[in-house]
Amino acid sequence: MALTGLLTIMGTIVAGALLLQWVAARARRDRLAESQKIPFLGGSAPNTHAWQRFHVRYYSMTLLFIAFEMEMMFMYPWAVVYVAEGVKALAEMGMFLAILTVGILYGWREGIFRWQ
Amino acid sequence: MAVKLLERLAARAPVPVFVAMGRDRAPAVERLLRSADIDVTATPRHASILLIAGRVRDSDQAYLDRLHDQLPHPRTTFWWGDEPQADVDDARRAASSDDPVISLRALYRNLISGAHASETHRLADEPPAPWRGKGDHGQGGEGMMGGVPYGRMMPMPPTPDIRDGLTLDVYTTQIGPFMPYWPAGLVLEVTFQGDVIQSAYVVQPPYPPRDVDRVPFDRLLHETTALAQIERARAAHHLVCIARVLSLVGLPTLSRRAQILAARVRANETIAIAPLRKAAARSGLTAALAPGLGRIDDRLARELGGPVQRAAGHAIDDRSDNPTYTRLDFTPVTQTQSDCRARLAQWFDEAEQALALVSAAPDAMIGQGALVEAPWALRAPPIDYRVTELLPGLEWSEALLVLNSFDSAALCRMGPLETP
Repeated sequence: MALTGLLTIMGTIVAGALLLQWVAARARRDRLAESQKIPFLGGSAPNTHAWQRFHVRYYSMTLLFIAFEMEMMFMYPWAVVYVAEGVKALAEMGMFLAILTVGILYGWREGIFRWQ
Repeated sequence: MAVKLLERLAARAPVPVFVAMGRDRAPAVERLLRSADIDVTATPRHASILLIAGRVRDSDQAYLDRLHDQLPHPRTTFWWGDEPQADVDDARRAASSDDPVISLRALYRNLISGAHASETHRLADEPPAPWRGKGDHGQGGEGMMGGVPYGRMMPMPPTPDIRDGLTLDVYTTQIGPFMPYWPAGLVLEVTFQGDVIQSAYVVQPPYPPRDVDRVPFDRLLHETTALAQIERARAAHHLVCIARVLSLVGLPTLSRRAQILAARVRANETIAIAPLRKAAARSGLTAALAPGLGRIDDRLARELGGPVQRAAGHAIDDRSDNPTYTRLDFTPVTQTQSDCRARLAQWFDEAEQALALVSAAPDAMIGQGALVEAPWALRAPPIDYRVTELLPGLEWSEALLVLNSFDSAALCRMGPLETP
């Protein structure tokens, strides 16, 4: 019985995914041409992307901030129960920091420490 | 059935046309603007037909192609007084002497019903900066700092300084050559900070001006011409300039009225300009033009000559020395401020004065080769003062007002090719 339920859910998900792909393919067929996406400038083409004026240069700092902020959010309550819980708490914190470190490594690869 | 009915109704609507103004066709396009059958759109996005009015430079072809591709489907091109690049059927062309309204209507009907196929794009359909990383599937890349995020070009403004992103960056773009209220053929590279123009330079100069109102002035070189013809041409020219400004400040009905008055003046009818002027003043025309907007210095006003010079307060007019005019007690009208308001008032004053001269001496003749002031700025080689020097510090709407407060001859002399 449980197996039937699981298969039904799987089937629904697969069918939904296929439907979405079909819709996306249809939308691609009558999409706008590239020259229709650019702003009207009397026949001229824009030199730069319209977003460049609004480029969020503090983006990388935000990513770093969130990584270290989350660390602290968990560390304060963790410090309270650390003595009572012992090694178990230490292992949990280790796992948590490992995940955060992956985020920081990702940022490092993307060059967020090269702040100018 | 219902769809067929809808198609027929849609085909009866005014034909949405985007006009790419080439050489020589400005007066003819005015006639289109007056036609109730044609809806001249402000951008190609609202048009179904791209009307190429007059000849364009070879270097403008790429701009035309881009405009063409910006029209939504179904779309087509119509050549009026220009030789198309490729062979096209007669349904999509008209000689410069023909009135294209009937052809445009038929073409639009066929376009709506599907009898005339929509044109495909002319430019390559690919993004200018494709979103593509280093990896096989477009993934990966280096840097998040605005350099090449995920391999995607984030084109930056051409300034070497390092910015912190706390202030809005400048935006540099080319504008022109085919836009409403824009000198035909002019391409400017403009740098904006917000809405305010920081700098501008001319990439392509405007087309040389050729006016229909020039005819009596040219004729005067070879034969004795009636004063009435000369002065009517002057009034018509000024009324068309006024109509452009009225339309630009958002008074389309008054603009159409000025266009109709210009047409009636050319058709030798007797008209009065004062009611139009009063209606324009009541509608807030002067309020739309800030005092001091587009003020030019004395040296530039003198070099440009014509109404621009007189709007700066210099009573210099070739008609002052002409015996036919002196007999009529002619004195040049002038303004003092030399700004957009003054130039507009000068057009109104000179048009009214011209019609007063016509009614004072309807049969007066001017001898062959006599010097008579033309209604536009001096037609002479370009001057070292650039139109782009007038624009920095202005918002875009103000810049358009300043450009339209000059006649096309003045703009042509101020807009030669520049190198940045």
